[in-house]
Amino acid sequence: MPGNKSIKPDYNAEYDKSDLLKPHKLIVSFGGRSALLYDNEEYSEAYGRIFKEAKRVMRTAILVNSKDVVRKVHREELPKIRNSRGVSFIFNMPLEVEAVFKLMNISSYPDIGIRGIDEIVVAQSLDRVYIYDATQDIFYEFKTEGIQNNLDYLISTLEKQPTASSLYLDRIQPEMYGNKVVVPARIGAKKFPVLSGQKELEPGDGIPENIAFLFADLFNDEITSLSIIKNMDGTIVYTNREGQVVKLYTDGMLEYVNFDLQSKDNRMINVSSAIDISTEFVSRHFGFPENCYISDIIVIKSMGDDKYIIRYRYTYEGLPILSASGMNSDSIEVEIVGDEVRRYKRVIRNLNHELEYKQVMDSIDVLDILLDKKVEAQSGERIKKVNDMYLAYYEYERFGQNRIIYVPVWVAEVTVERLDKGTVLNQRYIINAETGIILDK
Amino acid sequence: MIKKLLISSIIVIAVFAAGSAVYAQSGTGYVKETAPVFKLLSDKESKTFDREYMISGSASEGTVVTIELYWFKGEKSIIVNKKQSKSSESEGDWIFQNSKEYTVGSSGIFAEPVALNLGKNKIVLLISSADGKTEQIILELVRSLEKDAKEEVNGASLNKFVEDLSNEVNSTK
Repeated sequence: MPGNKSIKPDYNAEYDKSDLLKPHKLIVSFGGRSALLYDNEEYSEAYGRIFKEAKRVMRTAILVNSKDVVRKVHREELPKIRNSRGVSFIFNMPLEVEAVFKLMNISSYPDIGIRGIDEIVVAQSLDRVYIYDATQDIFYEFKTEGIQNNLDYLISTLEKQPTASSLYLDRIQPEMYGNKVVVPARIGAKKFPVLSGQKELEPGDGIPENIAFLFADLFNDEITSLSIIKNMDGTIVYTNREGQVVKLYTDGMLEYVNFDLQSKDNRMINVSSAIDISTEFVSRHFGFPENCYISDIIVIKSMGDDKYIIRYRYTYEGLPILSASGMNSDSIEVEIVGDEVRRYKRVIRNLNHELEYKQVMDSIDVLDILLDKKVEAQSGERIKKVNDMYLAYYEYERFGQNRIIYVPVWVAEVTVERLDKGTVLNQRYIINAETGIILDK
Repeated sequence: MIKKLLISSIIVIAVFAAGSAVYAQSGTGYVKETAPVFKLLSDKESKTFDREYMISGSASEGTVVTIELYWFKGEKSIIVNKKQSKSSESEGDWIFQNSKEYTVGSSGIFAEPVALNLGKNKIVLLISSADGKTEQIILELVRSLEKDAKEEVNGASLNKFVEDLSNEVNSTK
């Protein structure tokens, strides 16, 4: 079992941008059987090597295939592609093609029609790389013949290790499950530790000395010139009275808002530049925690400045840490307008193993609970489709002022129909992975 | 003559009509009358290197699935995974290994990995739905070692050369 391990923020850390491309799910297919690989202590080395090598093959394939060589393949080919020996990256949300190419350090590539990337498959046994655009429901096929790589060896090595088989539930019930619903078939005897978390930033009467320079850098001003206001709810507000505000909430969330944007001349940037701005901003202001990746990119087009919202998540033992704060469960969020950061939110915990370990329920058993008629009657809604399902850590209880407990949970992203009004909406069910009790939705 | 032709065509139409699928309405939607109790979706490959085989499929809630695993003991086989006990059942050379029973829940999904032995394996699925329908599915799989298969194709010396080369490449990375 893994020992004590904590994420210690390194405020000066340079972050390897390509690591931000770490997928929501990394699946290794042995041809027929496949395994969902977690970046945990047990498989960290294998994960790192497979991630890097698959990424290198993807990048090379994109660069060596000219526009007229790339072929469009219909979705019907999906089972064959996923069944072939190789590696799949499934992203949390469809990522803009420019963003993915930026993170792969591909400076220019002709527009071949790809918009959002939901999944990339290195089909090693077919000598192909496939990029899946779910909006168009099309695979873009890139040839990889002649690209020397080590994936065969890495896959064979992993195959010799005991890995739990994974299931693509859309193959079993395509009308009920989305493409992303890949789950481990059986968890087996593996237990997951309960985590205790400490707030990265604690609201106090002043600014902690060790981070005072980071606050000054956010305001680009002398720290002594800031006004500090303590709200009734305990939130501390720091302001330079010139349109810049930093709020430090009692749950440890930091929110920086710049109301005084300088770019009045409608400076338009693309998503690639937005990633640069966002990544540099986070690196400079408190930094990225270990195992952080881009979980979502939202582009809001407007008549004036386009707006970009870039969200990041971090993982512990390969499982994403879900925040209970009002941040769509992500941990870092940067909002860019023009070429400036208008808003920056982050809620990061310094995590440690507790001595308590939890036996986790299997995914199918959790689905049996969720789809039970009793749950339908109690919740007043019927689950029409399961769009995603994954294991994560979720904030469970707060003991004292600064100790937060995280427990393993199953997250089910579902589309539901309200039984009273018939309205259809997306919901996220958070289920205690040990007991099967629905904690939140 | 026309009458004969008319009668013949009526017979032909009647025969074809009898062979077409019949649909019956149930409480939840249209269900094919001949729909299987258990829809197996596992890859039906007969040869594998994997240590386990995933049996997956869908069935209605309450369906009981019993998985029985048998291993084939050939006359020349030197691999004996389990000694045949008095309680073991056998069918000729098929030696009973183990049996497990599962009940399908409200998700309607069934997924169970089965650990395979080296050599020939037989998996028997005994399915019994909540409304009393039964079905039996038999799968035969041969599990071999990847190394043995490669040797059969490449020959032992070439295989050793490829392995050494691969190790060298990987150790220098």
